[in-house]
Amino acid sequence: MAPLCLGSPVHSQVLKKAGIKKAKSFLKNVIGEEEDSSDDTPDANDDDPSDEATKSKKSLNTELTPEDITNHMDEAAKAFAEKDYSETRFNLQQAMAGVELELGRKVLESMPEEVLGVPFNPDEDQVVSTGMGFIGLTINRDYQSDKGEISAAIANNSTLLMPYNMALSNPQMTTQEENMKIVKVNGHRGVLELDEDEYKLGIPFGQSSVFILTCDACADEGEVISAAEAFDIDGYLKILGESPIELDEN
Amino acid sequence: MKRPVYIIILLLLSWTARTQNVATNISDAKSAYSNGNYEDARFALQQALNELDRILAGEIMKLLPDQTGGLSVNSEKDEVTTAGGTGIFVSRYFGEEENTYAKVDIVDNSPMVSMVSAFINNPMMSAMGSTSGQKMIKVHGYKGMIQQDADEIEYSIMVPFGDSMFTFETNVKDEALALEMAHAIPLDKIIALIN
Repeated sequence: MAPLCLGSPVHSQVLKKAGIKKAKSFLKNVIGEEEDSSDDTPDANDDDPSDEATKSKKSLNTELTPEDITNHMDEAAKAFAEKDYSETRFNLQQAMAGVELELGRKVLESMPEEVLGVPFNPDEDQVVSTGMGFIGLTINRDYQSDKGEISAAIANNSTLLMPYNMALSNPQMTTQEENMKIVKVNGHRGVLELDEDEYKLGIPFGQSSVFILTCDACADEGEVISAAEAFDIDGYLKILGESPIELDEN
Repeated sequence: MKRPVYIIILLLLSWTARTQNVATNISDAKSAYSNGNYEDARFALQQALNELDRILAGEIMKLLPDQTGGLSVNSEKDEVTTAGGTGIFVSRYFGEEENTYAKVDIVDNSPMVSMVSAFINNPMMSAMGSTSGQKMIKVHGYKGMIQQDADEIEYSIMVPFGDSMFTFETNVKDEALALEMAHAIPLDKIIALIN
């Protein structure tokens, strides 16, 4: 049973389509020769008709169609005119979720495919929207290799932003904590933490977004900063329609 | 004499402004979306949801009675809170806290829904509840739970619907009276409005 059926936030299964091409490239990177050799030497089970039937069935059910946002907006306007507030609300929330997924997809597309030589795993690309304004939109991309894992997440209109803003505006927090300090990445201030063997960097940007990078593939702080610099935070700012907050250099 | 008339006119103007805002925001969202401006579309949808929730909360408040079980509404304690599509909170108080009182809350997206739903949908939990001051009841045909706090002799009646929760609390000493008072709230109409 798909997790979507639980009625929780809308997962962007649709995004997988955008990642198919990249998935092939990723598989080539990870599997390399094995993938090619499997093409040359057909498996004995390839001729199994039941296997073909399964493949055919799977190919029909791998994706859900995306939300018809315009239709939801039309339905919302119609329901509202008829004073059917429940239906209006449902359609507005569906439209909101759909628009947030589109925004998230744009951000994902602009994320790097490789960071510190670690390729991204398209299967882990994720955009989650609650369709409820302030709870927000989260976008996640994971990079995985033998070297370790790097995870990049962007949370927009999210409560995740609050602890980082608090740490940045309250120096006592960062000086009090042993493994926490303030750093600067491409002109954006962030909070760097070391928790056991994993670095975590949180960079608030705009009025209501935060970029969070977790890295166990990073050998030191310098590598964390280099990894973060691979991400175009100013670009995400534009996509999410955020107004930049100028840093006070004093 | 003129003052109430002004208030009514102001309320009507406010309601009209809100309904216009919802329609205008939906139209703005559609226009922004068709131009590929997703962030503006999102902002306008958010505004529409905010306004719609305020309208919905106002409509729920209109459905609530002015009295229940002989207790009159304490309108100073009427509460309406909305949180932009994520929830509506409507509360009405009857009577006085220091004497006999009753309180009704309608909470959209309530965190209590899963707990009460588990109780009414799991016969084992319902059976266990009977030994700890909880039992299953129905209000306007909707299954819920009544809970008695033995120390305070207070009754809480909770009825989940969708992701929302109807809660009725009172300190009357009689369970049958507490249920009768809860029935004075037109829960079926409220559910029809929200769901």
